[in-house]
This record gives sequence, structure tokens and C-alpha cells, in this order.
Amino acid sequence: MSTAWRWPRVRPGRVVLALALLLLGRATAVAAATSYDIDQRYGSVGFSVSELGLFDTEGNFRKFAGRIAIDPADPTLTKIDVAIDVASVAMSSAQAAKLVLSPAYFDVGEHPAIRFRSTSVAAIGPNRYRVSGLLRIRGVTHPQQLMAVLTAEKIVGKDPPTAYFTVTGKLHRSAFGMTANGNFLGDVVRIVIHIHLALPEIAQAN
Amino acid sequence: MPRRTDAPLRWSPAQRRLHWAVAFLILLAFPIAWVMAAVPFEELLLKFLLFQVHKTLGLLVLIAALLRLAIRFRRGRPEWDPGLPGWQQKAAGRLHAALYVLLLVVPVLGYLVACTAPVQIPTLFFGILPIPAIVGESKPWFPLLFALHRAAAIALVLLATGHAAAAIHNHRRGLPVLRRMWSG
Repeated sequence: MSTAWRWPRVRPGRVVLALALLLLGRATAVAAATSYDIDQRYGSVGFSVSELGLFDTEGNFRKFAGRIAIDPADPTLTKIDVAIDVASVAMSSAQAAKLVLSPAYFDVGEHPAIRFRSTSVAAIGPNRYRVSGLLRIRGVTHPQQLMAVLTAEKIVGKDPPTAYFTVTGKLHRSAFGMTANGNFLGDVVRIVIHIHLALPEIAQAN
Repeated sequence: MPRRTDAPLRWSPAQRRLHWAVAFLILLAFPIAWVMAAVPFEELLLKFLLFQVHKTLGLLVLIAALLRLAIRFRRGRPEWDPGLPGWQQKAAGRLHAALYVLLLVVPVLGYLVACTAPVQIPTLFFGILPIPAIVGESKPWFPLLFALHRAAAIALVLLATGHAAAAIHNHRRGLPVLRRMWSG
């Protein structure tokens, strides 16, 4: 089985579309969106915050679940809806995890999930997308922008190609009511998400 | 009575000052260790600062101990006070040697504890100079090193207390041992 890494120069939707048209010999648009159920098997959701501007503390959520609907013909029609299990947070120490789950922070007792729902996706460069959506943490909802970059496509034998995305963003934790330890922890929280998706199979003729 | 050796007549000012400096540093660092561990995690800044102070004090102890050893090798020590019986001189000599060893071992173990800790906090000497970690986080080593550091520190404090008690006892018997270390 051969493994070939291609550094993509074109959007995956366009590649799939082109191949589909070649194989089918028709100038028709490929049909509707493909829905992916994603969870922690397909990536990771992490965050980091600065301490005294000197060093960073990182954490990640071990469990999350959601759905991504991608239309290969038009990636800007992508829809994302994800819920993150707050209690699944992992930090460098049990004490840190306990602190971060406490009422002053994520308040897992009252708000067991973080929700993100996309409202729009814009292509802002080759393989770069700006995802706009609503993020709900601790019962507070704010608009959130994320930058999604297609970092690689992997083809293994006859399997459908897998696309790897790195999604980054920043938020101010005080906007969600997390103002504790402001004298030590920075207000800006960096988000780093990794997701991989198997792209839709090329539709067979009739 | 003519002196039988070429030992110095008295403790030098450097030897005396370093001796009391180390005692003072330990008297601060030891209780801070218990407080810094007891401070709740919510008090992040306070906890961080106490850890930095403790680590800076520990590094100062290590530096002072190395200086003292260097001076001791170069200059030696005054002769044992003849008022002390031979067995006490021997015992004290061994206690001092143990203290020197612990003065080196405890800070080094503490440094390794900081290196292998799961929560990687930088060590800032005086809050300014970053001390690089020679090894990284280690799940198996950290609890062991931590237990060793704490045990050695407690041993150091116990031995130092015995050392101080003996010095005060001898002082009250009229021997010049304490005065020699205090004022030469």
C-alpha cells in the first residue's frame, strides 16, 4: 500500500469536482453536502493561556462531538456544529484541571458543554477559510472567528483522501465571565483545533 | 602552648558570614516550602511567587555552600576547642560533614524536582534570571525526587537544629565555640 503526501495547491472540493467531471464525462455540478460526524477520534481541541506573559499553560478537551456538513462544490456553504464536553478537560496537573472546572472558570456544574455553531465560512486564500460562528461558554454566547487552514491531504491506497485541518482562534476569557486570577493569567486564550476528514467518495455514474 | 598545626587561629569573616547566611536562608526557605504547598491553587499568583522565592533561596544556599567548601579546602578550620572531649570533636566533625553534603544535595534535588514537575513553571532566579531545566517533565521521577528532596530537607533541618543546640549547650558551659563563629 503506498502512502503519498500531497501538499495541496487547490481546494479539495475543486479537486474532487474536477475528477468527478473527468470520470463522468459530464458538465454537471456534483450534488449536495456531505455530513461528517466528528468526535475526538478525528482530532483534538486544545487551548493555551499565558501566565505573567512568561510562559503558557495548555489544556485540551478529551471529548467532543459534532457535525460538519461540507459541500464540495462550494466550501463556503460548510456548516459546523460542535459540542465540547467540559468535564473532559485535561491539563498538566489534576489541580489545574480542578481549578479550570470550578465556578470561577468553566463552571462545569452549571454548564457542562461548550457549543460552537458556524454562521458563515469565507475562503480567504488557497486552502484558508475564515469560519464565523457563535461560541457559547458558561452560558454566555459571543461571535467567534476561527481560521481553518488545510495543511495536508493524505492518500493511502484506494481509500478516499483525508484532509487535515488546523483551526486556530483567540478569545478573551473575560468576555465569557472568566475574570479570576487576572493578575496572573492572561485574558487572551488561544484555541488550536486539529481535525481530519475523509473527503467524499467520487460519485459513481447511475 | 605552641600550636601543633598550621590551622588558622580563627574562623575568617567570610567563613563566619557565609555560615550565618546559610542558616538564615534555610530558616526562610524551609517554612516557605510548607506554606507554598499549602496555599490553595486558586491563589495562583501568590503560589507562583512563593515557589520562586523558595527556589531562589535554595539556589543561594547551593552557591553559598559551594563557596564555603572552597574556602574550607583552601583555608581549613580553626583547631577544635580543647575543652571538647575527643569523642565530641569526632561526632561534631561527622555532623558537619553530613551538613555540608545535605547543603549540596537538598538544593540539587530541589532543582531536579522543578525540572521533572508535571506543571512546568520556569525557575527565575530573583525573578529575573531564568534557570534552564537540565531534564524535562518525568512522571516516574518526579514523585521520587520530590520525596527525596523533602526527606533530605527535613534531615538537614533536624541535623542543623542538633548542631545549633550543641553549640548553645557548649556556649553555656563556657566554651568559646559559638563566640568563635559569631565574632571570631
